[in-house]
Amino acid sequence: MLAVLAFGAVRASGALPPTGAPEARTTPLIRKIPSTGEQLPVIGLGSWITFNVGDDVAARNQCTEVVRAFVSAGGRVIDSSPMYGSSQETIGYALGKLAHPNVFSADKVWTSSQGAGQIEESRRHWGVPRFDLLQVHNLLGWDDHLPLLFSMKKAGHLRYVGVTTSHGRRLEELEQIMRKEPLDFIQLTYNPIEREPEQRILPLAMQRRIAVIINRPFNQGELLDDLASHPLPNWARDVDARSWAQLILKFIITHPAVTCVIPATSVPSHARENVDAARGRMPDAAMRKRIADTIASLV
Amino acid sequence: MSEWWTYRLSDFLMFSQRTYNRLFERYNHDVWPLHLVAIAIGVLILWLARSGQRVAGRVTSILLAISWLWIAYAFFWQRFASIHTYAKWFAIAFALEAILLLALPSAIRHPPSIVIALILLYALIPPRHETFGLAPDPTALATIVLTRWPLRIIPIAWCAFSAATLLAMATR
Repeated sequence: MLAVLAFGAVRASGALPPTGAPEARTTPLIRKIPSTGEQLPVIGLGSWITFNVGDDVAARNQCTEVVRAFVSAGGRVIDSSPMYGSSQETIGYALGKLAHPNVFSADKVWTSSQGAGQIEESRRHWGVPRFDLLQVHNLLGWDDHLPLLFSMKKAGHLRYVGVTTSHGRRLEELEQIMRKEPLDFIQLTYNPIEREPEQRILPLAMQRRIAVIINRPFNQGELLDDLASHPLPNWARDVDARSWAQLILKFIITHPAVTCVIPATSVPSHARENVDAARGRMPDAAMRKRIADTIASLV
Repeated sequence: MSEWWTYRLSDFLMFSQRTYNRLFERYNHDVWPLHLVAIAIGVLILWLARSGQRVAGRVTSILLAISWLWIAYAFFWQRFASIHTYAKWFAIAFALEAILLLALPSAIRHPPSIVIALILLYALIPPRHETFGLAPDPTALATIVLTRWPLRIIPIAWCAFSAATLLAMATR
């Protein structure tokens, strides 16, 4: 019921196009962070695996080109974690090379008992004065870390606080935290074949005015690997999707609760293609169902 | 870790196959021509295994210990740590194996020469060209065949981890 109410409310507000009449967007779709009204482009950039390249300068330069392509296409949100190996340092390297473009820095605090020390080390890797968003990674030690993050926010050392999970794990605990804590963001996995969050988490996020970041949109690339042998349906053109990746991203970003999705890539042209998924016509409710049904039948 | 049954091998993979291959490519470039020394050590171990000399076990254990210490520092501590959160723990485990090799020279055995020769040929396998004495996999394999328990515990544990990593990369 929560899900039905959520979709109905958003359709009435005009966030989704009316069924059967998608309108083309020339500028990338943006969403507001519910707690402040700040606007964010809906396509972000993840860094799990792809940016963990160590101190390999050639690979770091390649990642810099990914960030350059992402930012120049209109992207802003970049997400990382101290658990992602050298990804934070790679992001810092790229931002330095690109003269610190205006990105929305989203990072995490992990299992360390020294949360503040870990956050400071992460900040130094990024080379930013402060993080826009810090999230408790996979809910690990959330009851210890959240008071620290809220105190940092109160002191002006941080703008937003969130928690993360992935692949449908610990959703019940996530729901409890969402009901109890004044979160700005949650992050979780949602895509055409992982739709459990539609039942409770996404509607609750709208009800509680919590922004939602979607990770693993392609199930760590497996979804695209499985779809690679299938031609893109002709009807994908009706929503201006030129690839399976764009079709999946359009499915995700048109859920009204979703604020941002963070696909990871090591290919600059893919970063541009991902951001472009937020342009053109968007799927309506019927088309979203068609996308999900089609992909579920193929993988 | 809750809901552990929902995790797959690929969930623990921190880097891409491309990054792993590049790590070895750069490592091999950096340490060249140490490969020649490592192969010479391998050939010496092979000769010792055939010679049946009284000091063969002691010399083999020292040569293996040097290899494990080198890998602990030059591979895990200096390089693998840049892409794997727990690499320094692997370095400590490899250093511990070096100490065990020095402490238990009587645990050295002499397998058929062909087995050691095959492990030396591991370096010819592209793209990583992992060389005995410099890279963990062939060195761990050689140690498994050249030693008795308990010296096989750490090499077998490493081989299991490495096999899981390679499998996760291959199935990604």
